[in-house]
Amino acid sequence: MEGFLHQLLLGLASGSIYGGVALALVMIFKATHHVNFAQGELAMFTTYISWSLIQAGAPYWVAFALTLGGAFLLGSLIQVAIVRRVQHAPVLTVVIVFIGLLIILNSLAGWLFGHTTIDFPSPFPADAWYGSAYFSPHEVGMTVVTLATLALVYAFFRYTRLGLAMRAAALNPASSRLVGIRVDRMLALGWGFASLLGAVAGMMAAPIVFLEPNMMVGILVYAFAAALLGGIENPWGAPIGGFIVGVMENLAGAYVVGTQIKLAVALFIIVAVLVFKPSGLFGRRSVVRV
Amino acid sequence: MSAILELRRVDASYGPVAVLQSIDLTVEKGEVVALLGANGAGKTTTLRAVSNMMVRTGGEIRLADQRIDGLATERIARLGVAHVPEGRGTFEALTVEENLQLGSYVRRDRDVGRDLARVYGYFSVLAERRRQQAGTLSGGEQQMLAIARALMLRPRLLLLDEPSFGLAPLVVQKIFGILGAINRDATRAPACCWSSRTPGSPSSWPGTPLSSRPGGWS
Repeated sequence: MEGFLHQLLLGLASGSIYGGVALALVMIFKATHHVNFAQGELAMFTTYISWSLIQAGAPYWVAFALTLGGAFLLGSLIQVAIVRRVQHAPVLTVVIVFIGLLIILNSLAGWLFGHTTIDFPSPFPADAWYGSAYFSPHEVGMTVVTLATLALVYAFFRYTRLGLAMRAAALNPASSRLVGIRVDRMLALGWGFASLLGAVAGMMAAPIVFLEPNMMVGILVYAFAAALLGGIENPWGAPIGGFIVGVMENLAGAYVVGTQIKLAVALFIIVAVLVFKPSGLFGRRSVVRV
Repeated sequence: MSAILELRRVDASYGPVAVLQSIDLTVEKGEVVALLGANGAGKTTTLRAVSNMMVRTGGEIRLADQRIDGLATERIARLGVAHVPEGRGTFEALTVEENLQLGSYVRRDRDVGRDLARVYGYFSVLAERRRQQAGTLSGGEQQMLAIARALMLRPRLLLLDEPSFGLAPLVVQKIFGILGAINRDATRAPACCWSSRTPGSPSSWPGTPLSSRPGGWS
């Protein structure tokens, strides 16, 4: 029973990471109807940036904050320079561009920072008071930070003027233009925010999965599963989907399939959702009048 | 010159399909005109051409003295052109109040709050439903919301594409009554250009009726 509880809590902890990346995927999907396959590599790359800053002597939280800014800029830049140019292209073209981005970021990281696995520091000391037998301090801290980030993002979109404009641009670009919203700029900001979310997830996951160019590949698959399970158009569904996926992953890994093919659980979830309930648990089926 | 909107030899086409050919149209400051005509007369296309929405245009379009043909739609909106499109274009997933806030998104002045109160005064049903999701409003209420949102821009020119479409006659009368009141009330009421399919408009509908003729609307 203790083992079960432990797996459950571990699942919630890793679920917060999946939820963070899933939210980034949902944000971009809502705004553009495209799935950003490069989301994970973007998160990995920005985590390397934070590592470089720490290596250069910056205190952890300073590096953290600077990385968030850098991630925002990088995400916006990618939207403006690359994604914007293919926004009206056929879906397959867009998919190929995203996969290209994925490969470029992965190779660039390996080239600039090397392929050796790196121990990434955790800002939560191993002997902190909030640790326990079930939860290491890092797992507690990472869940709190990720959830706090999600809460801030929610508050931004719900209560600020710019957040409202961004929501409008995603819902109805044509009407948004008619009230003077620069829709292109909103899309760039959306990418910036998504990239920022990915950076938080990357920096929180790195102490556990270790920093190396492929660190986010598995996490991205779980995040896809989480986003689909929660409903790819529903921002609330992403963190909830994340928790469900995290728990399922751990329980299946501990009791059913073993840790070696845990990732298959995520792929199973993806296929099952798409076959039986494509709109996810909380999504709505949209009807398009032709 | 006192014209707020001037179209000179304007062509408009959807890809290869030419709909407007070298047409002229003039709307004076504060004037209300109605573009009347059957389906296919080019009413929607004319209004879209002004906002540079979905059509390719040739010729000159001027807002006051400034050329606006070729500018991005959002830029034209920022210059004071509030366009309520066919189908109303409400943000259905957002609340009534959020829709109105978006109407004044580009404004930085401090009168936004006062204008919101004024708009709620004109359209009291919107005040009652301010926290309701816009998609749950009836057709007439959504039309009022769309017009109210356009007014929140404090526009110099108001473009209404088929505001009476699909609405019961009583509702239409109410809406046009409010439009007439707005036009009389404010000292700097926006000029208004609206379109309708009904060839003969009741005399209670505001504005100078114009019909499509070769060469323009007159």
